[in-house]
Amino acid sequence: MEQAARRRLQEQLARLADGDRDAFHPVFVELRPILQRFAGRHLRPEDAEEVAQEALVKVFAHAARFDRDRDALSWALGIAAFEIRTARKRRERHREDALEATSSAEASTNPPDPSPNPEQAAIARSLDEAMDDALRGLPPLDAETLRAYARDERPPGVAPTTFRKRVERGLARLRHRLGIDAEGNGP
Amino acid sequence: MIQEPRSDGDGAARERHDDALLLARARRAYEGGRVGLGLLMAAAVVPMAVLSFLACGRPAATLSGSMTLVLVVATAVWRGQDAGRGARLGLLAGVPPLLLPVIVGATGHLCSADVCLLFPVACLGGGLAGGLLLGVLGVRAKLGPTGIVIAGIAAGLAGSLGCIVAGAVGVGVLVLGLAGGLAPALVLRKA
Repeated sequence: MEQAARRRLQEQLARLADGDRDAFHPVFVELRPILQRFAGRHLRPEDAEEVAQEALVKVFAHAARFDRDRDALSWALGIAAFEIRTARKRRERHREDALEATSSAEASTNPPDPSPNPEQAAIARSLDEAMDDALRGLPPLDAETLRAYARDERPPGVAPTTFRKRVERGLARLRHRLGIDAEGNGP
Repeated sequence: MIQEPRSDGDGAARERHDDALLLARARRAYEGGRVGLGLLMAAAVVPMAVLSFLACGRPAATLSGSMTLVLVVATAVWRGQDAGRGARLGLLAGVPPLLLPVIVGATGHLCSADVCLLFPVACLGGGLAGGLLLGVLGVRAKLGPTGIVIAGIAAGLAGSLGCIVAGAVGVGVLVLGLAGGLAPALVLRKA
């Protein structure tokens, strides 16, 4: 904004603050495009016009209390900046609300399916088959122990310490058979 | 129903209509802001009225005087310019004639049982002080005729909230005092 225009705005806003209604229209005409450009730089076009109008109305609502020692342009832009911040917060809140509403609507119409999808089922099946193949290659006692361990069971009559040792031995043999080292690195 | 596309003329008319609406909104907001400022300034009357109510013992006169003062100040500040500045200065100039009689009443030892001539003297002195103050501040603020009239009315009403303790005589000498205090400034202004 040119220095002369800025001084003119300062003088007109001071007159308006004093109650001179003749200064109303010049201030309106001077400030409107400034606030439109300012809002346009900080907001999306669909929000900018509305926010610029709100800011302009707020400027006039507070014009009676404008302190003539302050810079008129900075004062008006300060009010516009507050409106822009408020508009941004409002938009964010709407977006969050919309997301929340969408996710809760999806949750109510499509509750999560506890059963695995066909792909997951196929992967689990082939893993089981691979494990069965590996277990078949182990001594029967190791295979039996690991199957019981996988089911979180302990064969009757086997002491816990003995079972733990058998599990460790069975796992070591299984790893060896699958070509996996002690750290879990594969072939 | 399918709407026909708007011609450029319609768009321009709509834009002018929107501009007019915005202008009207802005004007309403401005006037609303001025009313708020007027009421805020008029709130200064509340402590004056409380003091008058406690010290003067004439609730009806206090109420009517303070309500009139609120109306004068709020209207003048809403209107703004000379009237607004005059109302502000008048409130300030009304403080000496408001306080002096109240202080005299609080000390009270110079009054006899039947009559207290000190009250009218206090009102006269307060009025003079208020008038002088108004003259000095009015000249400094370059107050015009409207401003001086409004300031005089506001100062008189504010001062009368203290001078009603001396009845109609108190208010009468207050007006004389204000006029006397303001006279030099008015004479200088004319010269």
